[in-house]
Amino acid sequence: MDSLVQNANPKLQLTPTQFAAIEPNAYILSQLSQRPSSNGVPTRANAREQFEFRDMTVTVGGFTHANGSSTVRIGDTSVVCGIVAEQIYTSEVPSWDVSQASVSANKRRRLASSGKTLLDNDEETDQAYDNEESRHIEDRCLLVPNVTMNTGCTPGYVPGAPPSEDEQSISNNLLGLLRSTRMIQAEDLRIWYQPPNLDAGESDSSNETQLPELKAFWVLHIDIMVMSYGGNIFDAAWTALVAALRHVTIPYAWWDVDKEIVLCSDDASKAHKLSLREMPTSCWFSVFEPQPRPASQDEVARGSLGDGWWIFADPDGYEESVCEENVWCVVSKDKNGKTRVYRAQNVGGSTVDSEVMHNLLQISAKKWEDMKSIIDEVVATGSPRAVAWKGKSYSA
Amino acid sequence: MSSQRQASSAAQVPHLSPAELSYLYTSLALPQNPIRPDGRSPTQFRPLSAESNILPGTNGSARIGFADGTQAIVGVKAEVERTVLISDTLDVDQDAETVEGAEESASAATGGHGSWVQMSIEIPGFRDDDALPVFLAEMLRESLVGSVGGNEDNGERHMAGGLKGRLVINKRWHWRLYIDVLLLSQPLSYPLPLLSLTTHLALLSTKLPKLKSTGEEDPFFDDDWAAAEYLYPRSSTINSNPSQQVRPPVTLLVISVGENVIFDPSREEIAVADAVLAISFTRNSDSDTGTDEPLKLLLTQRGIANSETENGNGPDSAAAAEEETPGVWRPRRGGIKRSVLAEMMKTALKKGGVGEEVLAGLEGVEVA
Amino acid sequence: MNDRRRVNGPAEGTRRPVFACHVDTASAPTRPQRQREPKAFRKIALETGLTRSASGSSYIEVQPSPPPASYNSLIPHSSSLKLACSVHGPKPLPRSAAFSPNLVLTTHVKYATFATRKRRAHVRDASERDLGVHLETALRGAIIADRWPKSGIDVTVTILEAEDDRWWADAPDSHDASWGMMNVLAGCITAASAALADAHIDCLDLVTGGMAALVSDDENPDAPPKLVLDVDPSEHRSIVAACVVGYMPGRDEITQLWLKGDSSNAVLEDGDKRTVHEALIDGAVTAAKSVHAVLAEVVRESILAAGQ
Repeated sequence: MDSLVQNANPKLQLTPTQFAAIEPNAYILSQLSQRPSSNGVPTRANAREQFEFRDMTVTVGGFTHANGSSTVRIGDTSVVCGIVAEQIYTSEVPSWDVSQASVSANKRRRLASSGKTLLDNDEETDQAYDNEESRHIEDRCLLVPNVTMNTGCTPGYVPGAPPSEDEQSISNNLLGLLRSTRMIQAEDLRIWYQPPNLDAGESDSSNETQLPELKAFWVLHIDIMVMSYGGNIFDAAWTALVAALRHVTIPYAWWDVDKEIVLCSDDASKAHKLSLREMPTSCWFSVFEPQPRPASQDEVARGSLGDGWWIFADPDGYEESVCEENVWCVVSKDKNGKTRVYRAQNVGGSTVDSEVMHNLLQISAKKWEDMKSIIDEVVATGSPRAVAWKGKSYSA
Repeated sequence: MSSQRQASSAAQVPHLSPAELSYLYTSLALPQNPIRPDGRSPTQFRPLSAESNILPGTNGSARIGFADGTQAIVGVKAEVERTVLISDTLDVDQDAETVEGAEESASAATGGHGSWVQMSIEIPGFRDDDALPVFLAEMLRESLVGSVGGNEDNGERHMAGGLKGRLVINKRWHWRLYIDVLLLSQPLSYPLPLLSLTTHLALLSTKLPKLKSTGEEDPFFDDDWAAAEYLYPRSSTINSNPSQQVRPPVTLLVISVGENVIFDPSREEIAVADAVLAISFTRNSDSDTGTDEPLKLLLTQRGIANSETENGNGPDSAAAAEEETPGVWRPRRGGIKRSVLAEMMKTALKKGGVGEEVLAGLEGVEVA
Repeated sequence: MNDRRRVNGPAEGTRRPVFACHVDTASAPTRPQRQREPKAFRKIALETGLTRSASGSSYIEVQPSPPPASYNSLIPHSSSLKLACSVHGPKPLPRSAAFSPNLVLTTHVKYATFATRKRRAHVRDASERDLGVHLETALRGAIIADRWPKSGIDVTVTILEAEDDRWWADAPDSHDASWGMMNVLAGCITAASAALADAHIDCLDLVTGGMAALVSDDENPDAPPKLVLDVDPSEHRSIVAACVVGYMPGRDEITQLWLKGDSSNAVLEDGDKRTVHEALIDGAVTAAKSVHAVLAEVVRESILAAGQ
């Protein structure tokens, strides 16, 4: 790389850092072409291979006033996520009427007689129930994710300023993903009241109990603060969100008829965790193109990664500033090991074709396996303890 | 961004040359006998004109104008509001009355909340969420609600719990005070003393309607304004010694230059000050403690006006950082010694000191 | 009032959960007591350089007072300070800014929404701005500003967890001032000082924050209040007056002083000739000195580590 600079102008001596700042494209390209790693794979400017993810540390807990919290550090990026659960009473919702919860109320009653709860039966998919489920979460805005970068993590964001476009886009993507993956079950967020069976004595022939009433919802305020900016904020934010959701403890709550308020028990043993349906993993990739694209699409060699363009997994801040095209994959695997794709998006360019996309999805699926084991491990430790993961390279 | 605005308004500091600043500093720092540009003695205040009860639509109001043309108007409005007990821990009200032991709910009832006093300050050229107005409002409000000592002689508990206690009507209702401070001119000097003195006068003139209901019933009031009672009770009602009464606090600016302690500094004087201290105090109304300190300290904050010093003329070159050039003034670095600090507070608070004088002077205004 | 630039919760607003033990006196929890000596400090953890995207950064954490054995409530027993500070600069002032011969210091303090028992808003409130001004004063006296003409420096403090203003089960009474804020300020000063050192900004000394307070713990309201250092407000029945200083031990100078409360009724021990507020300031200075030892050690280590 030094030789390259000298060729350009023998009198001008630039240090690598200066070169990197002035000509990022040429710098990254020279790294890719001139420093093949031991096995001949091209290496990025940050000494990573193309599909190598950075080291990661995940911690849950540690913030006293949050129902669930986590800290995630990916390379130089670190984010903190805190989830606070508050309540909203159905009586305060304008236009709320009992019919809006009738399906789940009926189901709850039916299941209660058989000793099961709504959360137990994953198998039983019921169209009407599902509709009501997503309606509760979406219409009542029960999940409120927000990302803040105004923490002095980068000079670009003025503290105290309103959310920037980036922050808005990340917050909305988080919300969209939370809704479309349907990770959170509405039942976890409902607070029921079972009216006493007043006429039990008269009609004991039918074992029907009173229909339970839906009195309130829990609202999860999910706030994510970016403490250090090192690229790939979304993956870090999503990982922190998932880890914090796994850590959330919701107190046992009941409707107090006399006071007409919802009371909670501070007994930790009565509280419940959220039962998440899925644990999707998000992976960002950046597409690096040193030259502007030729006008004709046909001239681009298809199928081979590295013919004039490269893909960087888990880009850092420097790479992000250079790459215009990004690929975003969100995948998860179900119990049978089948991969589900929630997002496969290509933004800002058209370099990536279906085959490449397929490869990237496969890489994401492999990342999912690792991610699941990390988060399972960190949640199992309970007390605030960091679980570290050594960055590694995947192949499709 | 806000800092830029703050800096630009502080840039109204007269652009004195380093030599002029140095001259000013030297004359202010003369041992024993500082010479101030306007010939005042160290403890002398600038002449001011004051009047109270000028706005008929308020419960109390006042206007103070300094001779340099800066003027402030303060209006105090009071509203009756339902008390939400323990609102901090619970968002439910009445049901929670039994939460604490009897002792605690009693203290909540006599104590009152600091949040019942709301203060807003408007300064031309500043947005209401800029640092300066917010900081000044917090400071004035803090000293107002910070005073808790009451007058407990004669078996009567007048102003027990200070201003906050006075706002309690009964267990379920209380007064909410809105204090709106309006600076009419550009802030020529640091506006804190002006705003504080005006607020003090306005509060002294504030009257609340006489309560006709008793006990725990919903309050209703006498509509005869003549029967209204002062927020801060007046002399004739309990005893004639004005020094025994609860009075709203006053906040003064004090600067130290060299060995000297100087009161009511002008803009130029603040620009060369070693340290700037804001002191809030009020009359110590506890007659039985018998202390020889007639005033009590409520709040002090140091260095509030440094943003102005900052924009005064700095040193000409950074290279000369280690050398003092005689005749060329450079802003002082570092902090303030504890002994100087103590001296500043003592001068303000001692018996027969500046603080007493100021309170007596303000008392004179409302009589007139 | 909905901000469309954020994801908003239900339009009707949300309520904080009400715990049954708030309403039911029978199961009222026991009041926490200060276990430390009046002059003993809580442990603090201080680290620098965590935010790699900033010129300098620091993180400070105060060890929470341990909960009583078999504490199994979901209501947090205590709240302890956790805050992160980052420094950007020195950097050129924006073109629109007026000429300044000195380094222009800007400070921002923001609470995380989950920093306190009551959820905080996203928009900065008055107390956060107030803290920002206090912090600016404390740092300004220490920075050698004339070495960077026409430059600016941004100091941002994010409070991830703040101290309580009082014990959580207490009704806010006449001493309901936001005492927790004073601890927070002391932490802000220390953290910002560490971050400035990490960013290699020239300072006269490492300015540190210290806090002391007069507390009355007795059932008897007439008992004289005691002077204690490094106060956790939740451990005391009421705080009479408190003081925070920004202090530079090397020069024995105070850059920032914030003393509040009504100390008129307090009586010091016999033979103590100082006034009450002098005693408070001295207490806060003692606290700052002990924090300075930690701060200096951390900065020394980070310099040694960088040199290797």
